[in-house]
Amino acid sequence: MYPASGEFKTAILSDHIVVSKAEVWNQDSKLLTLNVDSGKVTVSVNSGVRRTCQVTLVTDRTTANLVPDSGFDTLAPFGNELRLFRGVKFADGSIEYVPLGVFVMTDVAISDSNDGVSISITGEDRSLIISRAKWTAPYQMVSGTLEASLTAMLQNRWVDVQTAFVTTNVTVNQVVWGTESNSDPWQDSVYLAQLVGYDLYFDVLGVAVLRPFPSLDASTVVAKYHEGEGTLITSLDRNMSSKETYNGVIYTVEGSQVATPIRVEVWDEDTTSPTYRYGVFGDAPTFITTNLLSTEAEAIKAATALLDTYRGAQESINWDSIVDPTLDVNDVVYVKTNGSKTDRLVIIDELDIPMSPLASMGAKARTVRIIDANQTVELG
Amino acid sequence: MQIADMLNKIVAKNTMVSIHFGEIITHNGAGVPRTVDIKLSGTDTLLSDVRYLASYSSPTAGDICVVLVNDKDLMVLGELEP
Repeated sequence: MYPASGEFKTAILSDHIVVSKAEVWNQDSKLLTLNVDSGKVTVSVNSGVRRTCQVTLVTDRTTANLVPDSGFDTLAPFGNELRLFRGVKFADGSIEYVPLGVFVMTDVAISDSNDGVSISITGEDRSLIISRAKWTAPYQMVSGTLEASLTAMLQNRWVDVQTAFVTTNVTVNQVVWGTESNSDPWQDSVYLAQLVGYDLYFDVLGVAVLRPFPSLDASTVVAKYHEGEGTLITSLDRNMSSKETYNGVIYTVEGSQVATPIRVEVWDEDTTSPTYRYGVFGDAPTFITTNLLSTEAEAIKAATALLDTYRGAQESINWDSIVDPTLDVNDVVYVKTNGSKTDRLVIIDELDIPMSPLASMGAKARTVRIIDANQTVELG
Repeated sequence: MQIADMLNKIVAKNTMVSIHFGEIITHNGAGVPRTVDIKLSGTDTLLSDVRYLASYSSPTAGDICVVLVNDKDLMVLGELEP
């Protein structure tokens, strides 16, 4: 969750004036600021690219000079970045913006009609810069901490990348990337992080962030969507499925850099869980093999983090609500509505944050924990 | 579930095994584990401390070797007979 002010958080719960803008940047120089007519930012944990955007700017005839004529123009999709913001204009006239991401423009479409000239821009977060810089030769990642290895790997592909990595205390073995032609360095980096239980993505400020997958047990609730208490939810769907649910991770570590092969098993042994290993659901393991780690303790930690990610996937909850641009995926929120019998802590997997003041925000989440009737949930 | 789809990719990628050819640049002496430095697939990038099978008894600089790439792990299988 982006740390907006208390005034901002209060304002979005009631009638307020929404403002949004787009800034076009060339490296460290801001070229211009634009009003956004419509569009959205999609944030998803389900693909390597965490944030994508699609926005439309409508210009009248006098401002139609924004239409790119050549590949070097401001809105041409060959290197300039779009920074999107959504904010609140307070009664005293002041404005507080929340950043929604830094996007590399990928497609620019121009439409000329009687209503004016419309420019639609599609973009992806800065992971695209690393994705595009394919391995041109094998890259040997030497043994070291996960954060040091990932930093070196990302900098090898984009020397100016900014990183904010936690201290992981995870040591990864020497491996070689890029032996296969056309492999994607960003996908490789995300794969490396996920295999050992960490989430790698570019945040709203365009900084590469590494952090553990959210824990099911020690999660902090950042928002409440509670029917009857000024609820922000306009509609909600709930879906339960066991089709691709696993309750065990069998994690094998073997390779030329591993002294002795390691195999660990981590299972859902929570007796209150519907996928409890010794309950009616039975055993449903998934298997992971890697050569990245060296110790059993690291393997157990990674397998546990991955199991946490699988365990929550058995129930998904989708809802539309009043827009809160501070929310992010992997945030844990409390959702309670009576009609759908939803009284859950959920982890957000996907968000659609609109730029228009009239549209609602879409969220997809998976259940972390069912809340008992006599339990209360507090923020923070 | 989508989140499971994402993590299934991890599982799927584990099956990636391929064979490449390379050149032995240096044999790193008698230390343990015994390793060689190689250049892979004609590139100029030196990959250091790559282990090799015991059956490849005497790696020598200039040998053209067969390299197994198991996911991101490299092992020299042996020399291609000249």
